[in-house]
Amino acid sequence: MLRVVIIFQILFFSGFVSAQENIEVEYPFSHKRVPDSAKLIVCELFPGEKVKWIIEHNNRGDYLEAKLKVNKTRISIKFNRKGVFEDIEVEVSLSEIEEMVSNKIKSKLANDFDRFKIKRIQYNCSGEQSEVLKFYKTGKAGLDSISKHFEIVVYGIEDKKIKSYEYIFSLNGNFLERLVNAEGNTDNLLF
Amino acid sequence: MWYSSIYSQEGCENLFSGVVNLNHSLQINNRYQLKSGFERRLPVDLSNKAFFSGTVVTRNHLTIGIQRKLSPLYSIAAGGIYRISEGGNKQRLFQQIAHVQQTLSRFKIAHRLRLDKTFSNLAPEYRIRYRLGAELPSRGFRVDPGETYFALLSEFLMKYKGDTQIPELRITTQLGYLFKGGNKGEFLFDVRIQNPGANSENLFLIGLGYYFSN
Repeated sequence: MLRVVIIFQILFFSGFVSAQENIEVEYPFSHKRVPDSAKLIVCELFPGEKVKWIIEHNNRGDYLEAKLKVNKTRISIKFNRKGVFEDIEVEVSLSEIEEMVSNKIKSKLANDFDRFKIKRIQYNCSGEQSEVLKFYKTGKAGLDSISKHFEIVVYGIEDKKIKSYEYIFSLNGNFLERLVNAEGNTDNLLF
Repeated sequence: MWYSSIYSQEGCENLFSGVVNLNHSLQINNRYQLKSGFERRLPVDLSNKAFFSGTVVTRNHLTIGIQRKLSPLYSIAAGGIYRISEGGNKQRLFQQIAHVQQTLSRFKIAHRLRLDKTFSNLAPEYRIRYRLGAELPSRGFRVDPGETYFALLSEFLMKYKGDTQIPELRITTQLGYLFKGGNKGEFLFDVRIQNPGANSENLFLIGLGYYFSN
């Protein structure tokens, strides 16, 4: 039995770490601990809606995120841990994007992959809080003070590699950044 | 892993056993992975008049298979198992198709359809198996490195041997931990009900499993 324990100890503490992967850790966060400033913004934008608060931890740091669903549309509003507004993301479908832009995005993806499938598109809006919120509510704002882009999760086959990626495109459909999403081990479910 | 099993009451046999298993995944290229595994059943005799009626004989399984990724969600696999047991050695060939998806809620859902054929000194046995599994992280929306998880798997099997057909139901619970390199270690509890009904044979297994890759 001791041998078994030792073998497991060795195995447990051995690891194979891969680099340049986009690893995000999310866990629930009590609304009681959310700064009032963050709650106020969410209540102002979505009065009466049910909100789920989470902490998102990624390579850039820790963020507080309010997730909600409004008319079947998933929306998330990100804050820093002190409750200062960071950005707002709204899930959109490819058909909702201007055809010229969506064609440009698809063209880039077709160029990068042998085959691909778009899993999720989010419209991201960040910058000066008042202008972003004004833009979200009215569709109008000082364009210099806010930044908008699309975040797209794509499953793609590239050089026979099948992976999940996160792409960032400008509103014009210009490619900005790409990250590889970390893959999970599913052998316990399949074997 | 360790396991346990049970037998007793009228017509039902409840057996208890321990089990340990070790599973390795080798990335051959971007589509193919070589899967190998070792499992050992450890007899643990908890027999008493109230519930358990015995344990199982010691047996070791060696598994080797190859998995091909069809997409980020679908994969197929085929391979063989060699079982060394006091009751006689057996060989088994299997093939499967699987689908795993991270849902937008907190669950990762997996479906597996497997067909296998077992060879021994007796007539060959064919089995068709469907397994549905769900994995739930202890926090957040997916299992991240350094996090514990809980998984529940239920599987229905139909065994065909000669003219006989025997159904079996398996329910497995796993309490595991995902290490930074993507390796997983888990405690598991497995209940296998063969021929559900008045004369069922129930096997209760408790064990440890470890999944690692490179």
